[in-house]
Amino acid sequence: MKPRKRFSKLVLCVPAALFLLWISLPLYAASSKLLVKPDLVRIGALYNGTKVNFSAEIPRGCDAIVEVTGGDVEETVVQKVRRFGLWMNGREITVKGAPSLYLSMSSEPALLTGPGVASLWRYEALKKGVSFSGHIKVTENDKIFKEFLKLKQSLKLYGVFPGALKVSPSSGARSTVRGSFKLPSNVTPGSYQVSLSVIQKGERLFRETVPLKVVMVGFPELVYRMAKKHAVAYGFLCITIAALAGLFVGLVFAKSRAHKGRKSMALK
Amino acid sequence: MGSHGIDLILLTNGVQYVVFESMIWNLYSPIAGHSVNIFLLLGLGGSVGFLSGLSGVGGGFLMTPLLIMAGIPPTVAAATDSSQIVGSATSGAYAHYRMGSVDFKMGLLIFAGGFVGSTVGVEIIKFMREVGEVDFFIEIIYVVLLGILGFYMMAESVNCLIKKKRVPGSIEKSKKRSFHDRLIQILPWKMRFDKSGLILSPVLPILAGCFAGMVAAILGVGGGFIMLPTMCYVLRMPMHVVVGTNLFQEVLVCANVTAMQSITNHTVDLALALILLLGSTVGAQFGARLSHRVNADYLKLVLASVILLVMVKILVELTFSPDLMLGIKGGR
Repeated sequence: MKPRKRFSKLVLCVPAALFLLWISLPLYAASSKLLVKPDLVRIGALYNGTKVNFSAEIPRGCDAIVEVTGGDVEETVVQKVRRFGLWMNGREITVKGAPSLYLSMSSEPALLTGPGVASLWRYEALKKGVSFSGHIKVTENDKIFKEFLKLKQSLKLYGVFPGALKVSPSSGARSTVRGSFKLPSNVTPGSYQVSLSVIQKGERLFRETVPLKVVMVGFPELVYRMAKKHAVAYGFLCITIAALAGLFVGLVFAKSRAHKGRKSMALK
Repeated sequence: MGSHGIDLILLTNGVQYVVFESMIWNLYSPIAGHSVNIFLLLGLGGSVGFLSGLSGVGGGFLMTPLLIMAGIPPTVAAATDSSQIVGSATSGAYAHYRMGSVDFKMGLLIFAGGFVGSTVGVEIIKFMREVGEVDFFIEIIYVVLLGILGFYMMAESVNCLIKKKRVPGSIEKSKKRSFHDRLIQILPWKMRFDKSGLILSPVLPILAGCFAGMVAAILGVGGGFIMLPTMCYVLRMPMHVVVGTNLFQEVLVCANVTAMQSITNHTVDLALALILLLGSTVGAQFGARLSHRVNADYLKLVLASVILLVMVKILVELTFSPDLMLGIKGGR
């Protein structure tokens, strides 16, 4: 190849490379790398919920929203009614499309509390996907949804935490967002998602999702598996262990009583 | 949001105590699907065992509502309590067996009825669970039974305390042949019960066992509060064999309830039952020791007050507007 031709190619390639670099910079700035620790939660014998930490890098000047969601489940709830002066269960309502867990946190409190913000997050986002069926009127949907949220919040399975995320400046044009949430003790084993939405001027720039797995391990897993899959054997095991434990305690106290009796006889 | 592993900050007289998460021991119940504080369970078991040892009345009927108050779903509380009673009743029955105060023949007949009754009871629970009324059903039966038992015990102890203050010798005994005597004469297939010194038809103990077994399955109790008066006043068994025989039949009935609940409803939690058993057996020993030093009528009065308080608490929850207008079908 002649040097002149090589030079002309270099002249074309360098601006092309610079152009590619220029257009890829915003993409780099928009990426986040969400880190969740631990990403595998083990439910053991002494489990009482667990704290999950997360961090991510976001473009400086942006806000963040982190949502933790469980898979959609179909469940039946019952509405309380007053009969003969007592509160008891009344009509059944089937709820479809509601996640088993929903926790939402933001860096800017107004994103989760303020009026007129985009309904891509918060409970408004859930409302779109949830449907109720049973002996209910369409006009009752709003009221039932509010009551459903109250039920889930009381079980600590749903929660909105405005301003719970902390944003601090990091290298270059980026900030670090950090936060934590507590997985409640009544969370069911399964697959969950932790999603980070980067917000700029009320608009979502992009969203990143990482999986979070919850598994039952050790003694609880053994008990659960036996109770559900080998119910007959489990039932007899419970009886045997309880009877043996009772017998053991009876023997221990009988011996201690006999020992004390002998001691008092000797004293007399 | 949990932060820095701190769970509670307690302020007492200006002194700040920080309780870390690691200091709070919780037991995860895979059947109930959430965790309960181990010390709370030991405390509940210990308190109920203490009251039981103090007063001589089984604590099963008190344990289940207390577990419900501690956040355990009623179905799991009732089934687990049955399993716990197997342990505590075995311990007691063994002690009575050593003293020779167990009528095995009578116990087995009561259990025959109890087996049928408890099987029916478990099916009732299953049906109520499907209908979605199980929580309400268990709670309302508790209100009725605890109400009757509490008022009866209170009235009896107050009566005894008043009578003791009066001059003795005013008690009249009726020599009239009662309906009960005639009923015992009419019933067929009379059998001899050597230990109890009775000649009796097996129909009566079977029927009594059937009713007690059904209540035991629904409420997760041993049924002692039904069987003890039945043995005394209906079967006319002598006092020295009543307690031991009742404990023996409780072991069998509650073992059947535990097996049935485990197979039909999958609601027995072994870990929970063992912690409760540990607390209740130890508590019962301390209660039994203290019972010799305190007036029995005052003890009954205390127990009746506790029973009535629990009953009122459940009744208030059923009467006043609930915070939540929706509930999960079939219990939590």
